[in-house]
Amino acid sequence: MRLTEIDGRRVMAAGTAVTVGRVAGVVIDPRQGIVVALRVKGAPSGDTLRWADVSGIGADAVMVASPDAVGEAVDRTAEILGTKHEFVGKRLLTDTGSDLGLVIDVAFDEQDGAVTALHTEDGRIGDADLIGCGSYGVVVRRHA
Amino acid sequence: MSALMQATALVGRPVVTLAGDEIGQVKDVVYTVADGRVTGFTLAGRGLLAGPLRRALPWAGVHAVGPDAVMIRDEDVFTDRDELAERTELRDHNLIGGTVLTEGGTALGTVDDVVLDIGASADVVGYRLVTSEAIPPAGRSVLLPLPGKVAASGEALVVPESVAGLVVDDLAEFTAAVRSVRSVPEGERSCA
Repeated sequence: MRLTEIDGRRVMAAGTAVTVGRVAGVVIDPRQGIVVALRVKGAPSGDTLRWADVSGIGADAVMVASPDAVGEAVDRTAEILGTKHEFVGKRLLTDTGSDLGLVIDVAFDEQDGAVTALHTEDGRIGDADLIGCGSYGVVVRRHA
Repeated sequence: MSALMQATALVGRPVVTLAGDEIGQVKDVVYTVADGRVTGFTLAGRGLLAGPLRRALPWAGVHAVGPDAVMIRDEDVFTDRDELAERTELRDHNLIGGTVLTEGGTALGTVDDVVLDIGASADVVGYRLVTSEAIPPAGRSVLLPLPGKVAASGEALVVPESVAGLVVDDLAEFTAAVRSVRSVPEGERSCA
């Protein structure tokens, strides 16, 4: 699954069969390299959906058990949201100081949320571990 | 693995933490003349018109010097600018524009840049200079391998007579030249 694919997708509560909101981005923990939450817009109860509360990602909707799954950001997610956490549009830098280009998309595993690749204007970087994401760019360590 | 680069090429390079935050940019390369070892960098703020920063980056805090950024572990690696300068006799800054004199008193040219060998440590291995008539044609930009220790001040750099013949045009030739200079036994070098 890619960030650009999930963006805008409807979030549907399975229990009530009601659309809760729409995906408006992902929250990635740059130290662990996993998606920890989805940002949701249009939901009355909040703007954050923890990855653990996603019950399924289908071609047409992101499924949750109940509308209450969307709430306010807490703990690590709130901490990440307080930083320059957005990946898209940032420079991709190696830990050895080489610029690999601008990030245009992020690929992640639909099951465990692990970031599997970063897409830049020049191509796909799949052989790297995430280290950080800050004001200047996204930092990765490439596999030797 | 190490790489040769000129100090001026490092100036303006962004200093970025592994967490991806930009702290500033390299302003000056600071090193001790006695052993040619780079002790760190002074910093300027971000952006073209930014001024100097109080805090400086000691070499020990450098994670990697890359082609596009100087990477540092985190924001705890900094030291005070004055403290870094105190541990260092001279900044490359002061050498730029200085005269390169041989021990015999011939001016070879003026210092234009410093050549660094950057790996696990960073060392000054030579100078770029604009030649005088002593290395014709005058006004040429050449690289001079540094023959071990040299005497230097803000005014001049004194080098052995023999190095005049070792100047090269680019960094590719420089590597071989440095090797040949360093292979001369210590005793055969005349010390200033």
